[in-house]
Amino acid sequence: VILKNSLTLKKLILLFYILVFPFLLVSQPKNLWPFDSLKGGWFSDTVLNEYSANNLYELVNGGADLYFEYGFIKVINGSFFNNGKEILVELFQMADNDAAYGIYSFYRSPKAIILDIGDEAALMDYYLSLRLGSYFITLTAYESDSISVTGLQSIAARIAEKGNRSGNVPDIMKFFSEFPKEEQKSLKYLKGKLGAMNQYHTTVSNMYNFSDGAVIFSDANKIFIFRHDSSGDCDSVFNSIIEETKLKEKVQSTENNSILYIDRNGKHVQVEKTDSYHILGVGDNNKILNKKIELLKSGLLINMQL
Amino acid sequence: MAKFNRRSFIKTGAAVGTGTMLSGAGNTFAGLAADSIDISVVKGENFYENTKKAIEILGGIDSFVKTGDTVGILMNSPWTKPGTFTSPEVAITVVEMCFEAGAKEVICLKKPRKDYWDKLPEKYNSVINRLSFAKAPVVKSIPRGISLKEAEITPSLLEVDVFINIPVSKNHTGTNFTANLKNLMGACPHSTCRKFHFKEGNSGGWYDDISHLSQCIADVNLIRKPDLCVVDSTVFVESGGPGGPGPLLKPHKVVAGRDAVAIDSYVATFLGLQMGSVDMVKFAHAHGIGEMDYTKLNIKEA
Repeated sequence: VILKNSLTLKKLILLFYILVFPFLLVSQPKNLWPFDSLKGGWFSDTVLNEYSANNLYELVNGGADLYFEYGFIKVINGSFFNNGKEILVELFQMADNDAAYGIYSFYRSPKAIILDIGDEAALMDYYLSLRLGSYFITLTAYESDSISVTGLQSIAARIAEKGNRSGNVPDIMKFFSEFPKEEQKSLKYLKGKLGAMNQYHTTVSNMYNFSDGAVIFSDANKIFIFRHDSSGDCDSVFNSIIEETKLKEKVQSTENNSILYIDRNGKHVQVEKTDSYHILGVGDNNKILNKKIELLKSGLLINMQL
Repeated sequence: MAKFNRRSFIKTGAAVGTGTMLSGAGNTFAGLAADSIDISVVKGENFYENTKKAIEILGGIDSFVKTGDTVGILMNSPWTKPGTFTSPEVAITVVEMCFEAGAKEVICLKKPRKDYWDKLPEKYNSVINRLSFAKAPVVKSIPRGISLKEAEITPSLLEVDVFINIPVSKNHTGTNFTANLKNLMGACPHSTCRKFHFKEGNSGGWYDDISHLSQCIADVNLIRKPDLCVVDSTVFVESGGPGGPGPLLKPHKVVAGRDAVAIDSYVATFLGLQMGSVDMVKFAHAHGIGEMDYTKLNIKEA
């Protein structure tokens, strides 16, 4: 009986390793690093540097806070070389897929060329951003010549081969489904005040009190949606926004679930509440702004029904 | 600072035009009524020449640096990715001009990263080797400071005869923008910069209180105003700052002047930031460090 139990235990341990080991491998950022020579002559023989939350400041200085806002675990970096050219690779292990998507979307330029590498890659002149499961990877060449740009893509592709795609995007992004595809390239997923403030600087203190959110750039308008844990939470935040706005801003109109005002830079700002979401629109023209907000609300309605 | 009206601007413009014509292709601006020009903006592919011209429009380096002077320079140099650090071409041109004007010593108020000068032609090695470095920081009180009552800062900043600020203008994730005013944090050690980010008792993140950070930046600029600002707006990140990577804007401009606040307010517009929309600029203006409304000043573009 002891022998039989022992064999069963060994089988279970073996099964555990077969199932879990591949995930343990890719859960270490170093295991995504392609040390072998790559297409085009690129190679990496540098010692990799590792930074945790305690010393991320040394790598990205004041930029660290944004990574913490999305959920940061650690980063490794090092360089690839090819005949005097260099590509710096920074491999950020984020808390989860949404965190990686968030920081990726924050840095993705709407002008970038989207590539089918990993979950998604964005190529922009001299750098490439890559999203791969819970990893966010930036590859920076110091030039934008064809050797460097080809190098960016081949290194990214090799890293992607060594990791696992998640295939997921945060569900709140689906609410923008009614906007043109080209504009959806500007979508950014938001997890906190810093990311949101970077898109639009508001003086209303509770405007960026939310659980998660997103923003799209549509023509000259910025349309945000912010999710709250419950409809009650949303009511409370929305009411405080209304009260503060009335005190601070040039209010043009108020209705039950909506307020319209002109901000200090002369922009038209519309804030609305619907269920457990509040919506913020910023633009130059009331009517166009309102149309964009309606577009978001129709996407919200469609996706809530699904 | 000399103010101007439309008439004086036209007169200055005519003088610049005539001076340029008379000097042919030499592009010298010597002999202009330089006192009337507050901000010079020079656009072109050659960043060495842009820098020289920008300073010449203001009356030449001799207006700022005298024989035997010690000069402190402050570049934004820790970063490595494109568009995130002061172009070495801009910085070395200023250094070379200082030595040509008879400067006894040019001190880097923050030591540049070790490969900062590497991409410059070898001919500049002799100039680079003459550079010296700032003393270790001391505590300096800031009586008029609102959020920052004291700061550790290199005493060299106060000791030099001439202080030249040479930042890059670029996007910054926290404050949206950085140029002259924020660059002064480079003369402070990390221990002081932390106080800019973390108000006492604040357990939030680095940018949990942007207003506090912006006020601290304005406060630290009370310690010493630059005698000359030479802002590198040649190539810089539009987003993804301070460290990048990010999409690059390429105005190819060098902007120079004496008023750090006015210049910051002006170069912020390259990033689409309207005048009055950057807190640190507003707070510095409120301190009387400079003029936020750059439209009141005489700006000469070349």
